[in-house]
Amino acid sequence: MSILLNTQTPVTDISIEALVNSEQRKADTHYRKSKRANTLATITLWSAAALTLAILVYILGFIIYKGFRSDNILETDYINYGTIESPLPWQSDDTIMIVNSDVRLKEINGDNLESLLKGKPSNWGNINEQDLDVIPYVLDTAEGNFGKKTIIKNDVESIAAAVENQVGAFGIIPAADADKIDGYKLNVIPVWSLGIGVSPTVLEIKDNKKMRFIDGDMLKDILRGNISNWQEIGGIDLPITLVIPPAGSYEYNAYLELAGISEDELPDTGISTGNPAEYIEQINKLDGGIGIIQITAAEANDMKTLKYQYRKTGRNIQMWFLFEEPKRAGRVGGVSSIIINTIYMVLLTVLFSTPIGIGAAVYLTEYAKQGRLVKIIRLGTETLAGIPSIIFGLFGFIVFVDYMNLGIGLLSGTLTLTLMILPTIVRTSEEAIKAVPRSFRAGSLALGAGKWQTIYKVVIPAAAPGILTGVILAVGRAVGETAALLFTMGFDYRRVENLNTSARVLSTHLYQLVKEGISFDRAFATATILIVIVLAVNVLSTKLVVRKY
Amino acid sequence: MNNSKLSVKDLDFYYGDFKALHNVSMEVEKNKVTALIGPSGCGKSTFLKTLNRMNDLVEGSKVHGTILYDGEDIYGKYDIIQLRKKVGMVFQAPNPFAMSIYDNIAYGPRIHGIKNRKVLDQIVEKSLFQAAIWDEVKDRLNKPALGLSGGQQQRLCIARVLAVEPDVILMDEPTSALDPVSTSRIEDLIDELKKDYTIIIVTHNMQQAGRISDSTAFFLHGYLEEMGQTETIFFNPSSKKTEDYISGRFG
Repeated sequence: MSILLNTQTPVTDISIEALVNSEQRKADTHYRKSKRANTLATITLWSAAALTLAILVYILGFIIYKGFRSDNILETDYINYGTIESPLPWQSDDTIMIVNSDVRLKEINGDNLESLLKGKPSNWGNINEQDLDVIPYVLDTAEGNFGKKTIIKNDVESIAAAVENQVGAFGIIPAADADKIDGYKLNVIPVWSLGIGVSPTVLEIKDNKKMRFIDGDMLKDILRGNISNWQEIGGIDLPITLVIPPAGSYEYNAYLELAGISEDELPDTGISTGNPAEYIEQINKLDGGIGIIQITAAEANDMKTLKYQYRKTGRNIQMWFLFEEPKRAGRVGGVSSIIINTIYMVLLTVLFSTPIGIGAAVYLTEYAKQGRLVKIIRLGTETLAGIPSIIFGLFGFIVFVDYMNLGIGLLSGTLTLTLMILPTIVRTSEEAIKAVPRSFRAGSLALGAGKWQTIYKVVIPAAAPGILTGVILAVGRAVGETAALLFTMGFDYRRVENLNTSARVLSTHLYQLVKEGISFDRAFATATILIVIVLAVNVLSTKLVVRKY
Repeated sequence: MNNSKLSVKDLDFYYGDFKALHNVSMEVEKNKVTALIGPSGCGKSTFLKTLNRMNDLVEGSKVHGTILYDGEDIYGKYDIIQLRKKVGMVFQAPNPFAMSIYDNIAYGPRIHGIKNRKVLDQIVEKSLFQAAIWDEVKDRLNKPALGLSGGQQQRLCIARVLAVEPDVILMDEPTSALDPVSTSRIEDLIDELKKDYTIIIVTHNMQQAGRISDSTAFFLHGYLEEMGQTETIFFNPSSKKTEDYISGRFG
């Protein structure tokens, strides 16, 4: 009827029917539209949620994956091929390298082995990131240049016994005595000694092209005779001249194994030679020549070598990373002291900020007159919560480090963090206290409790879950904070001795690792630890407070 | 007069500028149940709260007149904590604290300085027993009080008041949030408690007032319209307004 009232002109029966129809159509359209809008909204919201979730999962997953798995492409002079019994150029017989089982070593290349024997790096750190002194053992019959610290023994058994018992010890023994080390608890390490020797013509630059490296697949193709021109693998237009090592030699066996073929399948294009000296000469002399060769032999004969590129995958973070002390700017060892520093920092920050924060919140909600001053204070805390942390760092540097003369160290850093997270704690605590029902307070007061008793025994316990949520949020911020600590806490990665010593924490360690290009693997491992700590704090504290009542 | 526990004389009460109670005078007898009835906003809850000074919490409230508790003026030098200990209060909605059942009951004694665990155990058992809830909770004293049903929570709150050994118990519509079964249990409990305590109860439920009270006070627009023996008020009121209200003509 309202339709009729709205029309100005008198209406006939027909126009009423038409009007009703048109209204009906409008209603239908409206219904369809609202239904479509509904569907559209659902889809949009769903995709927004899905996108957020996907991004979160991707980021976390990526960091944690990189944290647990290292995957790097490396270029070295050496082919990643090694055998347990290997010829060393300065020894006439094949040798075996044995290593104490506490040394984390999977393989070693000839250069490194030689320098270890010379006592040049006196620490394993350079080779396997482990902070251990190197103690080399050799037989008195061994040939070669050895360092002063190299210990010489006159029988294989005493070398084996020493290597078994001395952390950081290793030794080389003749392959012929392999059976004598049976029963000793030690590791036998394959030695990489081969590289890719090429004729100088291969490395020439033509048409802006130069052969730079070879990877495993290219090498296999070359050794099988599947490739006939350097052009096919990114080099210059030059036919490949494959030189096959003298039959029966170490290089010859390596050739067959790297190519994955048997003796009968050797390519016909290959040039065979029976004499080691001739073999080297031919690689050098023939245009486009290539052959597998001992790196030391190549160096001795001024032969050019091609870099070998391979992919090294493995576990990244491991138990030792958590329990070893960092050394040499974090290149070597783990992060144990840094984790401990982080824990100290968090504990101190919580210790400083929680009482102050809760106290302020209680005052603002329960005691202060809700007037302009409180409003201004609230505005102030909210503004502070939004200030970039680097500014807190600057403030901390000027006030705590310089003016108050606390120096760069744990105390300055934690005080700065306290200032930084205090607003968060105050705000969340205030909300939590406000959320405690009035009836709790009334009930307590009616029993004759004083105001403070009521707050302390009823209101704060009831607000504890909310307050704790705030504290956890704040701790999460503090744990991951870097900018505020750059100027205030310093970068000493040793365990802090007292409040004034500079201390490196996980976040600043991560920053240093990346900034100084030390290691991305280590950076991701550190990031993973950081994430795990934050998660653990979250889970643990929710478990602790999960509404006991 | 000898039997008078609370004696109110010429009480005026203001919320800021609003005068909520006008010139109320009343004698509350010892070991009796006094019901306060009246339509919403008539001042009966306000009056109840003046009796243990819970209204002090309201900003800008003012009291004129005297309230004598055992002959002493509670708005004079009387210690407010002692007053609230002696004059306990049960609220409209059950408000147990977010603690265990045991801690809820022990809360009162603890804030009044009792720390001995054995004494507390005794108080808890006695109070819960008096509040007729002991059998239901004795095996779960360490469980959260908020896990109890509404009726149980309200009896727990009564037990919590009993634990500080009050003299007078004020009840502000204690059954309005409860179902009939729980209500009847609370009413039985009130009947039991009046042997030892003086009870003042605000209620909207006329039948309840009739069932449990010895005397009834009818409030209207901030005035105490009429007060007397419950039978008198219900069957032979002297005021026309009381009669209209009780017979359901308004309210």
